Amino acid sequence: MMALAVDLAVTRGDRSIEADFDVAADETVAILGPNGAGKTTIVEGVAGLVPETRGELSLDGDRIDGLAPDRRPIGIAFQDGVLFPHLSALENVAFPGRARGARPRAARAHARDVLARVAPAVNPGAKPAELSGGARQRVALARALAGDPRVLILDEPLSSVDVSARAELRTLLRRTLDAFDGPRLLVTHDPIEAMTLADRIVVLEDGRITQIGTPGEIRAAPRTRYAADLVGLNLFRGTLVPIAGGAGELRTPDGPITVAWPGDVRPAPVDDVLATLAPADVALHAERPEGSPRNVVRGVVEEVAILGDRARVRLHGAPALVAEITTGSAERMGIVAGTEVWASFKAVELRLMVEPIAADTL
Amino acid sequence: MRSRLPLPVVALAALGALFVVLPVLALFVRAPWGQLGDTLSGVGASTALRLSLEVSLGATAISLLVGVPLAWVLARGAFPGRAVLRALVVLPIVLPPVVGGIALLVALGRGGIVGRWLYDVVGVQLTFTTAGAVIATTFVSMPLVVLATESGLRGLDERYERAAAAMGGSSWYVFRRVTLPMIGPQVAAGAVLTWARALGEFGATITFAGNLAGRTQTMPLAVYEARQVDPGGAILLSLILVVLSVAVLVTLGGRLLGVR
Amino acid sequence: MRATRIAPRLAVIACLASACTGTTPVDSSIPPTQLTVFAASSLTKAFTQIGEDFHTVFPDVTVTFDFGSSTDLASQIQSEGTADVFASASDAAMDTVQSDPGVSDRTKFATNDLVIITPADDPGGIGSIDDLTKPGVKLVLGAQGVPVGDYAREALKNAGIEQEALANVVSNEDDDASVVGKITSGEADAAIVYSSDVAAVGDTVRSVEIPNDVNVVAIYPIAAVTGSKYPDQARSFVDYVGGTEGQDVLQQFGFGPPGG
Repeated sequence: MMALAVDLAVTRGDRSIEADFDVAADETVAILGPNGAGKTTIVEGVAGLVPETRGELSLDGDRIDGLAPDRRPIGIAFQDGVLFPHLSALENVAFPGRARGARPRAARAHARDVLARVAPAVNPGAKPAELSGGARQRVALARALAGDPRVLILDEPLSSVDVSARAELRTLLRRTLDAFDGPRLLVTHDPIEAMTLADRIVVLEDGRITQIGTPGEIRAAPRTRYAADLVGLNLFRGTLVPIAGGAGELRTPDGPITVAWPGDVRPAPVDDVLATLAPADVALHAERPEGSPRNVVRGVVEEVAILGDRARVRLHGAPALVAEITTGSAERMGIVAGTEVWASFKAVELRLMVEPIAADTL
Repeated sequence: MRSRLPLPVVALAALGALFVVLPVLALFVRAPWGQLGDTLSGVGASTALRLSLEVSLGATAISLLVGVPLAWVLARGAFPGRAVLRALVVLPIVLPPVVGGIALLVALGRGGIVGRWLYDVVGVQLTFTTAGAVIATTFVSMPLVVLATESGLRGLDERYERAAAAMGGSSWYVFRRVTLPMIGPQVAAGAVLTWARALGEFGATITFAGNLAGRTQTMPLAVYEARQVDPGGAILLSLILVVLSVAVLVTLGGRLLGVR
Repeated sequence: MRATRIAPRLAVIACLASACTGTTPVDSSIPPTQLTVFAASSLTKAFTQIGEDFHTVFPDVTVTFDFGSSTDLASQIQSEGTADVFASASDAAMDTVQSDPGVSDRTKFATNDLVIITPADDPGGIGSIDDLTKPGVKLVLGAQGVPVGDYAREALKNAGIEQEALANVVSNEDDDASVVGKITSGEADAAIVYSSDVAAVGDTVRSVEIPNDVNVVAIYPIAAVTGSKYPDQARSFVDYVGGTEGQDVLQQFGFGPPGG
């Protein structure tokens, strides 16, 4: 079974970064951390681009840390793409093939295929300067895939893309990562990206790994302040079904959640939809609330974490929720572990991640 | 909206322009145009011109071939004495050309350190030959290629070369398909400057290679000799050189020196 | 504080005072002057000595020299007119200056004949003037239009070997110092220069006599240049060169007496 075993240390001046983790052949591991934590340094070290790297790196049992970067079977898409400005999109994607000795025509044909799959709207003859940020990221992704690598690394793939293009790109990334046959590494500072794209998360803070686990494990037991802040999100997964009144219902294993139907999606059932909800949008009540909020959940308080004047309340219920209210309110309502409460949140507060299907395509 | 230049700047610029343009204009004014036909058709002029082009283009080609790798080593290499090497490589620009010629004699002349071996063992004497003129010219103009290329390399974001390596490019492949194309404009600018310097080279050439029509007498040497015998002809030959240089610099240089 | 303000004013007064004194007859109370002498480069060592001697006799006159090819110097005098005295290696160059701007006190002051020189180890195997025609011999001459070059060609013509010898020429230099340089550096096999040049370099070169019936005697004229600011001092210098002390120095440095 192909797996990537990483045990590297990088020392630059007075900064040192250490990382020891594994990536299985069928999983996506996200390296998540604040800016400056050393995430890019680690993955570039895996790619062989950081001369100050020490330690061991194995792929499928074979040591590869002694290999020059051009010898490692790794495809990497850099933050901001780093596409070669003097080559067209097609030539950029054909580069890995040609660099490894493939004949130009074969390399270009293969590049054309990959481009068509990953960046269909991009003109293969266009130069990088003529492309938008999102298009450049797609070409960078195509270039990383075109060399048929055994390991795929994506470094902050969405950070240089503007917000409107991000959703589409995120969907493409999910598809690409799931379809890739081999270990995948994703670097990000955005917890949403990590939670929605990765199977496991490596939390890197200030050059050290502080936690490794699935999104659920980290959410359940964040080990640092940073991790706790990260997982201050509620995450739901289910099938999205349209219901009367222009609304939708997300059918999760824990029960249905009413959501607003996203405008750019055809009114038909969609599988495997993710939705996030900020804890601050969850209101707590001592009695069952009346009125407009569509979603009401009865729960039992599992834990209350006081963070200054804010209290983070974890609820056990269907579904489980994290709510954030003022410490004052928590005290007034007498919320402690074991208290029974009612939680409510509005349909519109849920952010959905659906692959948009345009009206005229099938 | 055009930016406004302050008057003192404009005045100084005008002065600078006049300083450079006036001597060239004076050449045009004083040239004995009646003699032009004789001078142009004379064997001396066309031979000197052909030789000038051969020598200057040869020197430029060698400068590029050797100078670009040298610049790469100076910009990216890390070895003791790099600063000293760079100073030595740039030295020919600072040296008076005649001094350069003397140095070349001591090294490569028939009695020179390396030249002696060349003469005794291989039977080759570089002085008094066209090859010698190319060597002397290359010596003084190669630094321009090295400087321009090194500057281009320093300005090149190393991320591109790292990305190319990650994509599977060996160091030679990366140099050929990423580094060189990306510094192309700077290298080309260096080549144009080198060629211009090579065309006007005099001191090192006459000291090392001598002065013989058809073999080593490039245009500058022909002009110098003509002063003795035919001062009017010297002016006309000078003008030919000026017109040639301006023509090339205007058509190629502007584009290559980054002025669009 | 007061002293520093007075000092500049005193200096100005001193300058004006010295400028006010007019010219006086030739004696040791001649006011301080700088005499500019243009002389053929073959006269370099001899005239430098003469200049020092002249200054010892006339402490108020400092002689500065401009050495170069006589033809070059002649055209410089015509265009810039900054020479007080002109000493030429050929009558032709002096004739040029005589026609414009004019000369006075023109006299022959020395003669010089030609000699063949080779490097000390004689790589070309030159024993006589006819050996200059041996195939492969590297011969260096002054360029046409330069007196030493014209004289050399005349001598070769006198010997009946002009064509063959000229075929062996590898470089035409602009003055005799450069010709000698190609021999002392060991680069060329043979050259034709003035006898006085041999006296200047001594053992570093070997000389081969040119038969008297073939040799060319160069006649050196000297004159004061019309329009000089110091006509009296110029005339003094011309006289000194023709006088016993001047002639002694010239003969020391290998020149022949003006009579032939």
